[in-house]
Amino acid sequence: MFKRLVIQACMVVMAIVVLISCRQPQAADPATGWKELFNGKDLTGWKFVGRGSAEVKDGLIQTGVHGEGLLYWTGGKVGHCMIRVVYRMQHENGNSGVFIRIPLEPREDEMPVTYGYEVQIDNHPETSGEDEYHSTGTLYSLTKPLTKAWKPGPEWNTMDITLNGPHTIVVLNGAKVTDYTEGDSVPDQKFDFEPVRGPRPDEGWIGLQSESLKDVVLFKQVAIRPLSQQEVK
Amino acid sequence: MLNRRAAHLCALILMTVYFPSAQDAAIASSGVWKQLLNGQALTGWKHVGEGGMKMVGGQIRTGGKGVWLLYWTGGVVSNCTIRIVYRMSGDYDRSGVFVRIPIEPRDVEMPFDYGYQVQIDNHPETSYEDEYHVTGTLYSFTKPLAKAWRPGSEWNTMEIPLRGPRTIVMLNGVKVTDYTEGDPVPARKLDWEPQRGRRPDEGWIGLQNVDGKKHHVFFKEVAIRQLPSAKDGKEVLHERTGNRFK
Repeated sequence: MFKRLVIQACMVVMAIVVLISCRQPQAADPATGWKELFNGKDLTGWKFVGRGSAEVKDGLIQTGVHGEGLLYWTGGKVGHCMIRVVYRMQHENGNSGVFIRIPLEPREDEMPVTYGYEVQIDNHPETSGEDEYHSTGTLYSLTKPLTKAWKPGPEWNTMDITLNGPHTIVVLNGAKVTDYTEGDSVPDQKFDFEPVRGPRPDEGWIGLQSESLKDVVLFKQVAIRPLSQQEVK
Repeated sequence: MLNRRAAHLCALILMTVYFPSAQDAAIASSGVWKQLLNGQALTGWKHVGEGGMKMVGGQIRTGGKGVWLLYWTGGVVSNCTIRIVYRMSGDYDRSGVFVRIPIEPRDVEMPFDYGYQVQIDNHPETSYEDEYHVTGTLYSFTKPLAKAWRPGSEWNTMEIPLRGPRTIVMLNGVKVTDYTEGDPVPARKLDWEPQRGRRPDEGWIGLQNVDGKKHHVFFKEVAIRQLPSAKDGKEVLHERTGNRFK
């Protein structure tokens, strides 16, 4: 009798845990687990917040062409997953970023900066007076790049972002650039436009940053797959 | 029978997960006012943004440079009434009470766009704003049901019952706002108005400072009390994550 009660209770708790943690996309490729978040044609499943807008041209998402803001994926929070982003700069350099761990569905483009992370896309932060903590593949202003792995525009780059609980890994073109776990030390804010320090959630909304017309970045692929049990360990 | 016992067991398990201690739950369900200002120091409060506040004779006095927020660090609250007793220092001063802030604040912008500001400003016309921006409204969202503010240095009592998705603002005993999530609101008229969209049933709370060089508002009481259950008259226990009325 008591055993049945315990089993029932455990099942309810497990169901809740599963509901909370397994918010992975549904229609994934059964062989690889990857799900494409960009259909290659239009911005179905995406929403732009901020003053500008984004557009799809020749099968590529163009950020920056219509001003500042954030193009976020409306599918909800993600965590315990790998995000793959294939991008290139329109010119030799550009400026964009992949936002992760945004705690709330964005209504404007400030909250994601202050409460989430931006995985930076900017090969030459020095041109805007910023140091290497602001270069491609870092958690913008928070982490020092482990290596220089970016390819200049207009070459394609593949960025794999692993979100494993509080652990964030960024692999750029096969080389690890960032390996950060919540609680690791970070430098103080150097500029007032840098994000406020503090922990980010294990799961969050994701998006692409739109900077400016001179910083156009083109995205060919945004995909996601859940981590395997081995990867979670 | 079996199901009911299983449900009780689950509730117990969830309670141990969510509630920091049995004592917290007891305090939260007791229905008495809990004072959040101790009259001496700003224990249990945290400041974000520019400038700073002062404790003057046991009261909070807003002021200092720029915009800031003083939030209560006790966590999210819901199904409760918040009572604030305040006065202006002169004829025209501004402040606000933030409710339904979804996450712990680190800046002054997020509370504005994702929570509500219960406005304290008797003369919005001075800054070219209409009645949707007057004392007791959910700033820019609701039209006041009555004019209930007292001018100048007279004390005002504001009570804000938060029941699920419903927000009521009583000012000096008169209902000024009665808003339920999903009710229609006007489109944004001014650049600085908050973003539209649903606010959470439970949230962090705080006090606002506006341009403190000009505006000083005194708060002598901030208190919170659990609402009785709508159904059976008993006190509402925490319905979701913990209201930590420590």
